[in-house]
Amino acid sequence: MSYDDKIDIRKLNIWFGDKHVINDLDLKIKANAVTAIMGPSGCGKSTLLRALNRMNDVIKSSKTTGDVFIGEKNIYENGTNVYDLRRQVGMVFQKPNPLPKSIYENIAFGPKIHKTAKGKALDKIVEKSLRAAALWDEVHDRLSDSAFDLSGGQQQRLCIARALAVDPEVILMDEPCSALDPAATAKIEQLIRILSTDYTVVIVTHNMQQASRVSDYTVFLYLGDIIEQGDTKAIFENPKHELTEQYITGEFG
Amino acid sequence: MGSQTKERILFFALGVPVVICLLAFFWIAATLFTGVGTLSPEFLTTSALKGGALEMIVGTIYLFLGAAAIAGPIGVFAAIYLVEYAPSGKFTRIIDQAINNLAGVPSIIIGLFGFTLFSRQLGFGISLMAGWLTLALMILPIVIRGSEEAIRIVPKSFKQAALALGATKWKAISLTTLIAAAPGIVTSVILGIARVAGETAAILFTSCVIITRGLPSSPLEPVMALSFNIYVRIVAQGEPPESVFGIALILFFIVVAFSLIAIILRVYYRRKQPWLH
Amino acid sequence: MKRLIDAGMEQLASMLFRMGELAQKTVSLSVMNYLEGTHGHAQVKELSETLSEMADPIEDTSFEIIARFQPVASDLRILKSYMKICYDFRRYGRYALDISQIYERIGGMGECDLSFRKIMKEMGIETLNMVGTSIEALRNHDAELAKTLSKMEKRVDELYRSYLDKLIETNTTTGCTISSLLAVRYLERIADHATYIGESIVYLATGEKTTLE
Repeated sequence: MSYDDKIDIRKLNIWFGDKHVINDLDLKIKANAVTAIMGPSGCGKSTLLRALNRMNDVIKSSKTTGDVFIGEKNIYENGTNVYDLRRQVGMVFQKPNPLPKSIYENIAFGPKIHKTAKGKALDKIVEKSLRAAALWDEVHDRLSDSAFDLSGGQQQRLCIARALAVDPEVILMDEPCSALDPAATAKIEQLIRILSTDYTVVIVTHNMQQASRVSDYTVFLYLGDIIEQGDTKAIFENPKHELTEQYITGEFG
Repeated sequence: MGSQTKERILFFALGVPVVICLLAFFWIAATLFTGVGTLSPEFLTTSALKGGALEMIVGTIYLFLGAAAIAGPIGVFAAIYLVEYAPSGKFTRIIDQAINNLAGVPSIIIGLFGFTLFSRQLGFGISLMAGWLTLALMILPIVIRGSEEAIRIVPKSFKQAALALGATKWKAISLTTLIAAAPGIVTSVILGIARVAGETAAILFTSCVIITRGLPSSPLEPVMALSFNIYVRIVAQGEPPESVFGIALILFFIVVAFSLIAIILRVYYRRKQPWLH
Repeated sequence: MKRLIDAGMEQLASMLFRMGELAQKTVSLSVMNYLEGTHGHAQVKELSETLSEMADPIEDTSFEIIARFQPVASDLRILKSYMKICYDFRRYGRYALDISQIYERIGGMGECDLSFRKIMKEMGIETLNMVGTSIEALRNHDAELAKTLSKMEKRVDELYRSYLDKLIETNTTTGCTISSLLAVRYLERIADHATYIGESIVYLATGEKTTLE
């Protein structure tokens, strides 16, 4: 694994019951960059994403074989602490999912369950995370308000701040803007680019313009296989594979 | 006949049962209210030995509180298990069915069961404890069903969010889902109480006696109860109905009060649960 | 099923092709007039003006497609290439006009030495071939045909240099010399733009950025 790869996926296979969703997949993801995974519905993008923080484990019918190295550690090795993994690899979901608590308590949730901070130190972490998610200015004077008082775009930034609060190395995003309006989407996309300087970001999107705006590298996934991957610029200007060309020019979706 | 006319007829036709229920309720209340004259503060606080209603009021309260204290936690944990942990399959379906069946068992049979198991075999005799356990059996299905419902309508996204932050399954459930479901769970316990507060058949031979010497000093002693007292006065002592209206009114009031509390809580917490919309 | 963008792209392609055909006609007319010594400036001028007017709608349509459809990959390359080619067609028209004006004002090469005229004629024909090839290659986005322009450009370049060598040798400067020198320069430029068009066609078809010179 070269020094600038953060994630190394080797021979990954995932089944849901009998359905073979991810097919012998190899993929390297670069550190401190935004990698977009795109493809038509049902091609396995979200499943692949969830393999990176082992959230597929939660689904009873799922079976995963293969290795995923994050940093130097194989997260599918026996004895891996899945709970610490999920701290290290944060996730932002398609529909913003704030916890039924105050803004402060949402951000503090992660550090509290991992016992990483309390008291004043916790206050600092909450502020730092909200600033990093470009939300502090909008909420600093109402931290005890319910998270549900925020708009959709603010809620999503709250979810990002919540993931940042536990000091992750990787941030996974599953179509983070699909439930948001264009203005909120634009803010989140700017945020994603800023975050990539400190974190490795992997974003699943079915919106090609978003993939082309926001990512450094793009992976085109189709029916559980990687068809093409590379620099976003190259893929959107001159894709090598016919399928990729057809997908991104809208001949099928 | 125009469709608008049909609509109006339907509206009124559907309103009739509602009106009947309201009328029945108010008629009962009004009838019982005629006995309000017997209810003075002294009556309510004097011992039965001196003709007061203290022991039977306290006894009723002890009975349903204790039963709720037992059935509450068991019911909640059972509900959590059924919703979050039980594997889907035959075993779970059997449990489900059993809970439904338990809810449908006539209270006299539950009383009989309680008498046999708790009073006789476990040796509690006619006591508060036996009453608690028996009434708990009646509250249990209500709490389980109500809590299950309360837990089920909590969006799964909360649990997902907690899991994605590295929480264990139990932490994710207890710190998010349960807290969000708490109002619904509490409401189901209160509804359970409303159900058993006026229960007679179940306590008939498991915990009640006609009269006790003061308040019970331990759960192994028998108690007096409002519902039991009404039964005894009418059936055993042949008194006219009017003579028990006062006591009936107290019981009626307790049950209605708890039902109202449940409704108010539900309405109050609905506003605090924006994810329900 | 046709994509939304296809209607716009087809319209753009046909607008561009018509401009190309007109450009070809204009250059042909101007060059042949010069080589054969015929007057026809008024017509060339008219054609050249029409050509200029065709450029704006093509540009507007291109921008509209970009704004509305956010094209990527081959669509994007086609758009980029078409806009370049449109400019090259304008240049065809401009140089055709320039050659015609030379003939108007200074006269043709009728008085030139036969050897000069021979070179001019060959260069003129070869240049017209290049123009024709560039437009034919555009019609079908034919990268292979476009690549043949490289060889043709070499030939034109050779002719140009041999003309200059000859010019340096001769001592006399006549009206003919000046006229043909200017004309030859414009022919060389037309040939250049034909190669640029060829390069754009290769890029649009294969994504390769090449030089055909």
